[in-house]
Amino acid sequence: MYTRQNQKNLTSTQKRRFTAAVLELKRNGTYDRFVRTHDKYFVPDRDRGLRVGHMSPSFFPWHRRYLVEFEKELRALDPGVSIPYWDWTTDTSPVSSLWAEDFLGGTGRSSDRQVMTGPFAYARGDWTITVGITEARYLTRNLGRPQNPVTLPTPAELQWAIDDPTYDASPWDSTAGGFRNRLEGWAAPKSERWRNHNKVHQWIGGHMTGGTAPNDPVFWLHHAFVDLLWDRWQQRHPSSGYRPATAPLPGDAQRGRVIALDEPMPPWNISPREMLGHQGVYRYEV
Amino acid sequence: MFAAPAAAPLTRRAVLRTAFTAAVLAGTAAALAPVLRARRPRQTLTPAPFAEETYRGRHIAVELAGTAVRIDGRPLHVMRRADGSYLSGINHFQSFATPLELARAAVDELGTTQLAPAAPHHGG
Ligand SMILES: [Cu+2]
Repeated sequence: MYTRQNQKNLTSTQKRRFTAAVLELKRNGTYDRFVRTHDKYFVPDRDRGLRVGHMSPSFFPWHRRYLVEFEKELRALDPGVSIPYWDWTTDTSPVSSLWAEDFLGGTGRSSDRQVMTGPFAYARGDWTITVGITEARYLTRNLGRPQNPVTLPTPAELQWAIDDPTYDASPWDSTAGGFRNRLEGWAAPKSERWRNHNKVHQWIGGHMTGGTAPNDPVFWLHHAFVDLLWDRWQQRHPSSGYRPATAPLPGDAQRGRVIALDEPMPPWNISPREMLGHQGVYRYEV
Repeated sequence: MFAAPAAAPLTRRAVLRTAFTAAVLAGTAAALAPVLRARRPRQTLTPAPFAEETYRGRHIAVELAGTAVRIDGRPLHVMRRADGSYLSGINHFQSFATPLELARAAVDELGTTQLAPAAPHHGG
């Protein structure tokens, strides 16, 4: 059992050990396998295919497993390392310690959005993008998207998602009601359009807006917080649970496209039920 | 599985079109427009018309009858949401009402870089 800490409480030694382990996974090729997996399992909801990672109920359990797999690789290199979480409702500054030289580095420069500081700056030679959808070989960011400003989710906006007692609802996609879609962030009042998880991807900009988002190591800190929020929702609604409990019936357009509670999630063949908790594996520092 | 339904069948026409745009690509965006205009009469094999525009110095082409989008001749991977809106490989966590808005958002995000000639695909 290990602890995932709030990134703002990490010591400089802990930051260095975390980024060193990430850089080593990049060097040995493991990291880019994870980037490919994320992109591969993003299936949009107008397609008839099975959606596991996004726009579907398994958004939470799929990413939980994905993070645990990544963390296993980190901890094989350094057993003292775990994925920190970033509470984006409180650490909202583009110049917070998260984006400092000794941790993830800062925003991209204005000409080409290239991250120039920190361990993932291209010029350091340790962070070349190989799984990208552009020709940029360097990591890009555009914190706050100054040319068309976007703000990080507010505590009230997050609470609006946590307060929904229904985990997910038919048609189980990006148009559905319920906690999952409110937190994933497709569901929002018309005046806002995007919320929570999706808006954080937009606020970071650069690689984080696209299908190869895990190219930016902040992806893991963002999703660790999303994972913690699933816990928070479970605690607030102890009598609610993962839905759908059983696969949509024949004739339902969503049949074969979403994962029910006991169905296997690729690529690990693990069911959402097995991911409902993480007792005995890790805990969150509060 | 990754392609939007309307763009799924990669026809011979589409392949020719790709070759055509790739050949034109060598020039700058400013040089591109006259070249396309000059060549257009020879595009008799490509009846599916494109809406074209220059946005922030980049050439955007959107297939009117479908969802194919190219930026400076490079294909942008277009996806659809259940509500009919559009997403791309560049903008995965936000959707747009039309392919043209999607293309402009991709240009905004691209900055000075180009799309890769062959992007990784989803659901493979
Ligand atoms: Cu995400």
